[in-house]
Amino acid sequence: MPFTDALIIAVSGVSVVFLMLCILWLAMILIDKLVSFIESFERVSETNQKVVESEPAKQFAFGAMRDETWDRPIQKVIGIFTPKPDETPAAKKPAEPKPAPAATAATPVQPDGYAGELLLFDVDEKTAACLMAIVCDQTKIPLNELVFKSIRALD
Amino acid sequence: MNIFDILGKIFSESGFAGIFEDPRYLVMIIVAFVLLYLGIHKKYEPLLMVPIAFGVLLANLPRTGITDGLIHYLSLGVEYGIYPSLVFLGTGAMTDFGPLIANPSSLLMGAGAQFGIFTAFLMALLLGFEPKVAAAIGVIGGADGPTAILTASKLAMDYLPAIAIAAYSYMALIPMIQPPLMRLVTTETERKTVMKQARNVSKKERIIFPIAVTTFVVLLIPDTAPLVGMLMMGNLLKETGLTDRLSDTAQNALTNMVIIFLGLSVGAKAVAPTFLTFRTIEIIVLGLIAFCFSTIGGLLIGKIMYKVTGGKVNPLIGSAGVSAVPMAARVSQIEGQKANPSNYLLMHAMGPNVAGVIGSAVAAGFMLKIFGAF
Repeated sequence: MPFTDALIIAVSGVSVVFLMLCILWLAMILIDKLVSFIESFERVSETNQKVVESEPAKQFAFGAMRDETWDRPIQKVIGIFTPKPDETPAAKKPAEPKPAPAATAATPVQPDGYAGELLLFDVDEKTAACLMAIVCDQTKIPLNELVFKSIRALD
Repeated sequence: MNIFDILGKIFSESGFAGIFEDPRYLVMIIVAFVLLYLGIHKKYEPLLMVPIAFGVLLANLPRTGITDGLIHYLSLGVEYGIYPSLVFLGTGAMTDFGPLIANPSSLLMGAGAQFGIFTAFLMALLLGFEPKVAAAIGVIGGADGPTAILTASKLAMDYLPAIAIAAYSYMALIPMIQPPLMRLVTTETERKTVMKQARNVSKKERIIFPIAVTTFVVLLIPDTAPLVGMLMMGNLLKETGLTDRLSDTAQNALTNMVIIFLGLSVGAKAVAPTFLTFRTIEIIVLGLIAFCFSTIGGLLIGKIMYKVTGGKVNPLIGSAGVSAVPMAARVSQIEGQKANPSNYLLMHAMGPNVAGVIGSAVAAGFMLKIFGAF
């Protein structure tokens, strides 16, 4: 085989490998976008469904979680992102205790944007609120822009 | 007939007499001992080196006839490319493609690390090897044993043992071969680069990935089907979460059995008359060159990405684009930590590492496409 032919084959080979993996790269970006879209769509429709179904579960609105028994420093931190009790209708209702092993809470969309469902596994609401406050504080992201799906106690 | 006649007959029909007839067998037996030493004592890829070495030993004990019986039938799995594909099935079931999905630009480093394949191909041609043999030798640079074996079994059956032994030896020697090249190609500042933690990859993406890769890659280069298809099928078995038993079998029982058959068959092909030639030494040297060029190719792409991203990519992960999983990624981690003890590159390096598996399969598919029909 003439060397020039071999050179052409080698250059073609390198090009094919790059082209192939670039196509894959694009395909993976498309898959990522598609999956993100599907997941966000599913999340929104799931949330809407919960809102419709769970009117009695308003007690878990973040405002309602604020309780006189809370320590003052925690209240101070939580106060950064939770509405004041007098501003939240749900806060007027007493917070109901959640089952310890796996608690589910769903809330309707509040005017200030706090909504969604949070699953608690072996975590009480106070601890959950503290954790959310810490995450909010550390990431500097407002709580109404953070989405918590679940909080699980580690062994 | 006396006792001496009987002893003489036993000796004249023994393997010892065979060694006296052709002393090259003795050399090959010593080679087998050296390979066993490297596999057992030095721990150079022992899972493959030990069966290969034992295959070399069995095949070079004269007058056993084993290569016409058991080994002959076991070798059919190599000749038909069955074992490498099944090893890929197991590899897929063991591999986490998450780091690659989280950072798809790693694919470029996986592509860059195939550079050595084509460099070694050209050099082998210059040394007078036939084009298809040169192509099979080049694939050693992919640092992927099953791919090298599959290509050699289709393009250069006579050189299969040398190619397989070279491929696995260099894979085992990665911690020695790569670090000097990594330090040569990258600067201290580049090596110190700390990379951000990659995003989480959802289960849906993990399931779609093997299906999409198989469809795209195999449609474009059908010759990659045995390797890419099996790799991705193995991965799909792992990721669905519904086929745990199959995944477990692919990862453990099946892979272990196939490795025994593959190693033994490949080793047994290394018989003295065909293995002890100057060509074998040339192949081993070319394999090393291919390996070095692949490492440099990956590092150079890593350096380009470092520049393009404004210093967010540590170029050391580029060397993991040679597909020896996960050893090449571990070397990137170790070198990264030497430069900056707070550097954790392992998961970042796994992206180019698994991209290299796909890249080398594509390169091998290309070689098979071009030279398979010759």
